[in-house]
Amino acid sequence: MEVIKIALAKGRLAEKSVDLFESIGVVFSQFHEESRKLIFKSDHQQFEMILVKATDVATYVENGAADIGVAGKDTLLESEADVYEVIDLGFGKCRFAVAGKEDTDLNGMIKPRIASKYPKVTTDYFEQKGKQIETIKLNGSVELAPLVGLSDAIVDIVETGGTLKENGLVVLEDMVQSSARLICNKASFKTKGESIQPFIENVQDMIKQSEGEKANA
Amino acid sequence: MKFTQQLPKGVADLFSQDYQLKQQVIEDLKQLNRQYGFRQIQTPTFEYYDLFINLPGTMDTDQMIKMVDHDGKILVLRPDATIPITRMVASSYNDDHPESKLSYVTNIFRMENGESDVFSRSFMQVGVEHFGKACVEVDVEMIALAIESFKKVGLDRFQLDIGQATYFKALIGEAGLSTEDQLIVQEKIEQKNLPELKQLLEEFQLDEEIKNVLLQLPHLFGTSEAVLNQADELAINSKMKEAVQYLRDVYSLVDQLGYGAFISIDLGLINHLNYYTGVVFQGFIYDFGKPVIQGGRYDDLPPYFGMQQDAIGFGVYVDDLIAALKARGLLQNQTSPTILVYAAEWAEGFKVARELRRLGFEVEITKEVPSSNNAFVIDLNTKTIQTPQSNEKKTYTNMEDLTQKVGVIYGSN
Repeated sequence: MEVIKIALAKGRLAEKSVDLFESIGVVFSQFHEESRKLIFKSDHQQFEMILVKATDVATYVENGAADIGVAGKDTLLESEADVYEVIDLGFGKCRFAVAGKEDTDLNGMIKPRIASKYPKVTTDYFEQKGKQIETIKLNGSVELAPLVGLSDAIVDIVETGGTLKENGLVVLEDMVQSSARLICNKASFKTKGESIQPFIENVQDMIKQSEGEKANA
Repeated sequence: MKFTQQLPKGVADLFSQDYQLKQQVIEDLKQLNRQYGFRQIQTPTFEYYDLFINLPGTMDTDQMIKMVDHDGKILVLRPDATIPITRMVASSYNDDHPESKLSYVTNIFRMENGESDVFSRSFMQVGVEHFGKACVEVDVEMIALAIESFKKVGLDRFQLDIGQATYFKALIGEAGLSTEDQLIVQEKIEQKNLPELKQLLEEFQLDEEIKNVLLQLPHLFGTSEAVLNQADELAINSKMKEAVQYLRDVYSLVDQLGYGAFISIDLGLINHLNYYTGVVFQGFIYDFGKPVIQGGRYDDLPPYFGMQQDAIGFGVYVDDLIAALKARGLLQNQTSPTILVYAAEWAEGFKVARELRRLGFEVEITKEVPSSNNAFVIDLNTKTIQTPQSNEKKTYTNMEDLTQKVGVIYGSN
């Protein structure tokens, strides 16, 4: 039997995904027991899970190093990976937002500097608005940039807004919503369809079912 | 390493072993294309930028590698094989002989970011184009040739995914969307991104009937005729029905030829290059992450060059194909051993080598005593032939005797 490789982002998304897979009968018992390993076989040996950096999930799947992946829409927008994006899993919800100090007037600035971990999303957003900006690529602690004068504002993902608040920043503009997506390599989808498509359908059914329960509750 | 010795991203050197493997694969494909009646041609490495930008929605102009000519005109390195060939065919088009079957082996240049792929900016494509005839048989022969191309290089697990661009185009044409919005819808369908497609169609406030069919498109795939039946039921106009019927004819003929097992159908496959009009297809190799063959019908392209002609073609991404073959251990160097001529006098050695080379052998001349007993050595001093992997030495009398014996030994190796 062919082994299907699933790439997951280390951390919360992986835990949520493993729970979801468990509910459709794809169990990774080892995942709970050991924490340092990066490769796990499912109990029935049919699936293999690899744990990678969130921003790398799309790369693994696009190149076929993994057949399936769970990635945040935020990372997919940034990477523009050529993959099938089949299911909105509904968890890992967050939104992109432009944030800055309370009195920031971006429209009044000729060419504001925007710092972000997502330079592509940032550039695309302001291009669509027809606003010229200067994008500054950062790798972390983006909230710091407006405070120390590195940038006029930031583009980042916001879940609760807590981090922004603690650093004295506010949301200036809401951008797109993001959530976890089940993605699939296009070649795998076709050449390993017999194994992959039932898996996708099962996940789809499970998501629909749990959404229905939420709606009823 | 010094900057001057580095290579730009997305290009790579090929050393002799890899180059030879590449040539073997290309030769295999070329031979097959010839056997199917395609004649090889060549277009220039660079052409005017205007050739490519005047074709709406075909190529990302940002991805073209540009240069400036003496007179200030912009040139681009060939970013696509099909467009220049169509231009070429149109330039010499003759109504009396509308049909032409052409093949090419060519480098394609694109300004992709090239960080993860050494061949992303300069890659080789082998392909075929068939102008001047549109019928089921021509399309089926193209699909058959694509399948035979995979078989020719030794593959047995692959899939040819066939779509029908007309089905989508006839549907979206009724939606009254701008070209830009149509492309966004197309992108979501090609990603099988149902959640976002749904959201998008809500925003566009499309007609319910059109919307429902669009939402079904990502699901219209599979390996049986059931998909076609479903597509037929969903069709909302005669053009869509015809498109399904055409695909059905293609499918059943392909199946009749014994290729059914390699075929899958996907109405959600439209193809990123907007010039495709009818049957489109992509070839996937099992356990290889990207399509290795891309092709389809592009009847809308020739009219841009003033030629009312139908056309269909496909290209094989040779570098990707080689990577897939290597991963499967399907590529081996077919090297023949080099013959060493050992002579005290170089000139004497050269004369013997020249005769053997004339007969087609690969020969080197040496003045040093050959150390390895794994070599194929002709010792002019002792008039002996030593064969590889044996200590046995054969003697020879004259040149004629030598060439005859070498031929026998060479043939048995």
